[in-house]
Amino acid sequence: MTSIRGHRIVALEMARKLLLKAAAPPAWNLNAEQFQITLERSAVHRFGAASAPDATADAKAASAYFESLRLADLALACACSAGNSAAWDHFVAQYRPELYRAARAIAGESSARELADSLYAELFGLREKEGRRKSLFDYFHGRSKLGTWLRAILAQRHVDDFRRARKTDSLDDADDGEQSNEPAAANTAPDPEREKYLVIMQAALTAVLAALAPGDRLRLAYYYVEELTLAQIGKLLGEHEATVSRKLERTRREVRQQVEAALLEEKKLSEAQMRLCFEYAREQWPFDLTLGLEAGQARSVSTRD
Amino acid sequence: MASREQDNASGKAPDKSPDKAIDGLLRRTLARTAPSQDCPAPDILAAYCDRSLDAGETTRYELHFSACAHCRTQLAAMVRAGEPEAAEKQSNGWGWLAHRWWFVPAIATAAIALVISVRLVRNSYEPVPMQQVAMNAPSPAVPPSSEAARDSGTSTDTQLLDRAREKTAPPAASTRVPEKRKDLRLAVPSKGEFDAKSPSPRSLSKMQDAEGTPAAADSLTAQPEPASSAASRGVAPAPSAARSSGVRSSGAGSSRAGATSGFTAQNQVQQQNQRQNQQSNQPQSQQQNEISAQVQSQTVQVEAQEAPGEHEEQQASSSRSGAVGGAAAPAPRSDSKQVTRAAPLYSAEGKMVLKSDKAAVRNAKKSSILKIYSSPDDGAWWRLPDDGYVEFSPDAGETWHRKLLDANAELLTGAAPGGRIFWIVGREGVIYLTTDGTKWKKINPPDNIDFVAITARDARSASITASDRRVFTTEDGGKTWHIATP
Repeated sequence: MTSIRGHRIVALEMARKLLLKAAAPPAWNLNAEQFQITLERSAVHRFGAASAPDATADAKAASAYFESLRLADLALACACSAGNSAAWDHFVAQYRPELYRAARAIAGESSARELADSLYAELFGLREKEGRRKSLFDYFHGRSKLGTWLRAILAQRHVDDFRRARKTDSLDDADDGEQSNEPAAANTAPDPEREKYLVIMQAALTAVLAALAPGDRLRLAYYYVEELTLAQIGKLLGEHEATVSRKLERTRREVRQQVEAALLEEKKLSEAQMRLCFEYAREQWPFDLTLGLEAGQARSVSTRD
Repeated sequence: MASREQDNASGKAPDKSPDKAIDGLLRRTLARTAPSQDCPAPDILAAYCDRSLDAGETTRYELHFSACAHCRTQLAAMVRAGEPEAAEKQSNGWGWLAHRWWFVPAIATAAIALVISVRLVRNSYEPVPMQQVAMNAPSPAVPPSSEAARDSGTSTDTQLLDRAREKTAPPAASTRVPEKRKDLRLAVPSKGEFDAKSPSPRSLSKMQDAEGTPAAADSLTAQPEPASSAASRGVAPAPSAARSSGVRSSGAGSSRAGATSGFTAQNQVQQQNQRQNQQSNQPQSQQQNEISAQVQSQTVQVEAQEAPGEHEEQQASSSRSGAVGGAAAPAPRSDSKQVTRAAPLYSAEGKMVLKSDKAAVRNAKKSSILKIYSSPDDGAWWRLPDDGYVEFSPDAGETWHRKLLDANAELLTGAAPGGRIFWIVGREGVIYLTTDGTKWKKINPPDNIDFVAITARDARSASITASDRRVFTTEDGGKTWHIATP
């Protein structure tokens, strides 16, 4: 690769300087030209080929971006991709334990080995494309730590495999078995209004959730759906654990208040009917109102008690 | 926010049904989000986890993640896989033996903690033999930090009440109390907006280590108050009415009978303490020092059966630090004995853990809501009414100015050392300082931890206590902090 748009995104001098900063061991035989190509690929991935900062026209922006990269990890990925055995040995020694550990945490003990080994093969570059060995390292752009990127690859593969195996749209259906342990008292004394109340309830909640700020919705999803701990949510969102807890509580309180307001004011339910909505929602678990929502069956209940 | 486990375990009350329904609905509805077609590549997810994306990218991708169950699942798997402790558990069950270097200090620490806790538990849980007496437990051998607190802005309750005492207490009463009893609290009838609030839990949960602090007998004093003053509770004497309006003072009145029984109780406690002191063959000052070091603020309130129609309240509070010792509200009248323990910063067990720390934070928060911090040499008052807000009164409560410091901050307590200087500390490393009452400066904290107490001498010198019992001091207005383990 000589250029992206007919001119260099990364000057060779800058690539040499960044390579020096990466402190790649001489045994990796990594030269500035190779690193220049890797850096340019990273810049194009970040900014797109059309808007990547020009080495001459926008040197400051380009420099700021490249300085923010994990250069040591990027150099290791570059050397491994080039097939340097010393770099590969270093990678195996450095990341093999972490890779297997992450695989065990993600896929469990039984599938961990298979998951990690398949990744090893792709990292090493067993596949060839147009006569050239294609390594998965080419997709590492240095914007994160190499270990984090490996975990992301593992997680993506595991989730994809899981979805394929389940042949379902949503991984979250796995929770159904657990959730079905909730009492289903509704079946014993069916209320003709039950389904209608549930549809109304679900519609109100969906509207309230759609109006939430993305951060609040994401926090709720991490907590209720992914069942992360407060500390894990805080790590993902860059918040203190106590802040996560406080914001979750506030959001949940607001959601409940807004759902109640929607039921009382918009749907014109009485207090008793609203309580029934909550009761049915709690008892009939799980209930699938998706079809009801899609059919637009959310209709208001007319009169108050 | 209660954890999921707590939600599942305890949310069974009937009024929790809507909450449970909401929890279930949230779980179900949020899980229904369909996978998106343009999910970011793993390197973006990795950069997001490492917080390496810029602000614009973070916002954009969080918007995507909030609607994409596929990406959220990957992120959840990643963050779980990144937990180091999980790795240690799974990779090598005996790996902890490789780090045996901490064994010796850990065992030594545990042994010391055990010895201290046994001693303190023995001292702390002796039955209180008194009735109808309010006691406090200051010590003659007060640690330097306590002295500093007494002289500092956190003792503003004391100073405020001392002023009120000078104005309200009759000469006879004041002459019966030694001058050194700075920590005594006299009833200051309170009225105004704070009267409408519930009494401070902290003020109602006074703790007294009567048996464990022999020297406490020296300071056990029931501040007598004339019957006329006690009878006219709620109507402040004219000179102090203006200043005490709206103030939740750190004390309450005492009846004549209460005072009498209080002195009787004092003698009994003295005798009992002397007996115990002889039995333990421990120097009085040494034991006092231990208690002073371990228990930062402890008072006890015993309300005993009184004669019908003569329900008089009597309480005294001790707040040697003054920072977390909540300003006392008028105690609810009760005919039953009530001995409750305030949440100490330093537990008697000597093994303060997260649960206890949370209790300290919670109590500091409750106290701060009801408390007014007054400058000892100025008419400046402050109060912390709600999350993130501070209210300032330049004219001793006549007018209040409300200012939002940080909506996300939880302000726990403050210290007004003088002039218009006011320090505020709170959760997650929140420290604020003002020198003129209006302009606030956010101070860089020594650690991102909850701060539950503060003492200050001026705008440069302050000492803050973290929820894990560490004490940090500054002598340059918060530019640098030094740790001082109590």
